[in-house]
Amino acid sequence: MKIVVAGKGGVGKTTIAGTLARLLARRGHSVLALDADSNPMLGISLGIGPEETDALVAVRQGLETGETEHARSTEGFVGRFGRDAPDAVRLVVASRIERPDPGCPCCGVSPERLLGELEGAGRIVIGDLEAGVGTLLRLRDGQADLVLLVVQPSAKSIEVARRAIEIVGSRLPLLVVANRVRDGSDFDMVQAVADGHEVVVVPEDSEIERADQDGQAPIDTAARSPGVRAIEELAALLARGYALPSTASPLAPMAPGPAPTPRVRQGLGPARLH
Amino acid sequence: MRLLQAGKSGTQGLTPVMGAVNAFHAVVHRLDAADGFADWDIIGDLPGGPRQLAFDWAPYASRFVLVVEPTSQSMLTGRRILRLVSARRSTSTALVVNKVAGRKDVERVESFFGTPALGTIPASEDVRRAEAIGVALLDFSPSSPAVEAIEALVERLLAR
Ligand SMILES: Nc1ncnc2c1ncn2[C@@H]1O[C@H](COP(=O)(O)OP(=O)(O)OP(=O)(O)O)[C@@H](O)[C@H]1O
Ligand SMILES: [Mg+2]
Repeated sequence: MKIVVAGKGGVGKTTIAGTLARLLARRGHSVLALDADSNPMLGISLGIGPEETDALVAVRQGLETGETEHARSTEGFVGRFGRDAPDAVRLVVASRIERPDPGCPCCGVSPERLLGELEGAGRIVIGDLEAGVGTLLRLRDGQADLVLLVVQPSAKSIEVARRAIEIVGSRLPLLVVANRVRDGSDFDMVQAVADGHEVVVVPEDSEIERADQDGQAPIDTAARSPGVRAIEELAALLARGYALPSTASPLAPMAPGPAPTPRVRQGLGPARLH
Repeated sequence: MRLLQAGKSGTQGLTPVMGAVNAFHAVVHRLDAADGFADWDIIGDLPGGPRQLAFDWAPYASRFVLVVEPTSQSMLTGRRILRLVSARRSTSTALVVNKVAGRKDVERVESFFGTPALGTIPASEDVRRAEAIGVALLDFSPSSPAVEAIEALVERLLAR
């Protein structure tokens, strides 16, 4: 199963992608976390720290500098350039912008191409996308099975979400994650743009913010905080096979299913925020 | 004030977007030579991260304002951006620390970059509320401490 995490800049994509990856791994899934942002930060939310995150060689740059003698396949790149994060999550960075004129980002080894070539059966691939809708526009069949659209209750984030939902259309199942929700009106604001897609709530959580200030993974410093617990419920929902057409194993490759039924999950609504 | 906005992507795929993006790139590369803007101040608002700087989206800039939050992600991003900026041309850079909760936050960022901040802007509930409803901070809360701090930053930028 391949999940991509999308949304406007700063809405919490990396926080949610990293925490979700760790939680799914703890549930026994084999998890590959793909940092698909050219300003890669996923390592921090996975718990390997800022300097280690900065030191990771991206697949694209690794290939360009010829560090590939023994790895020709995409899975080989994961072994060659990836590294292990806590809970045995495998982390690999797709591409990193670090020089002027780094070459066309969507040609050659692009994040979406890696997503397409990575095996999705028997494991969960979580792609933390760059902010905005660029990657969603480029996504082709087979590159993702589910879009997690992270939305904050702010006008700009809602506008990006509206465009993202339009772009994804009925091509892929899409689940809205309302992040940094403080009250019912925040939730209503996000639900209004969700256009019938299911909405999962992650509350505003000062402990998540503090973890990020210190360059640590929320799951390591604030495992019992309301925000991390809400992401745990999201992990449980996905592990139960959310968006799968039948009761098949969530680890089986997923065909694009029908749009999910409009419904707010009991227990994840704003009533349980605080 | 005039607002120039880059093309927004729609649902028709990438081609029309790329046209708009290329046109915008050509426009920003000629801003310097445009007589009509000779005595204007130009302020470019770049998206987060190093992407646009890598592709030389701010050739008109004589000053570069690096906005950093006191978080590891933000400081790392700032460092990556600075490397790019200095690799291309020697534009002078001013450090601004945003979402500051106390003196410690400023010190942390200043010591990471090894340079004093030209401006510090406090974390402010006004900013969050204005953002939530999509109203300019200056209209929503003109006397907010964040506005005062940005005013002070403007003074210092102009004084240089
Ligand atoms: N539920 C939450 N409560 C409080 N703070 C949060 C929450 N979720 C995310 N944050 C904070 O918001 C900031 C941005 O989060 P994050 O880096 O995950 O966003 P992003 O969407 O990946 O950003 P970018 O577009 O820059 O990649 C971080 O400081 C993070 O700690
Ligand atoms: Mg991110």
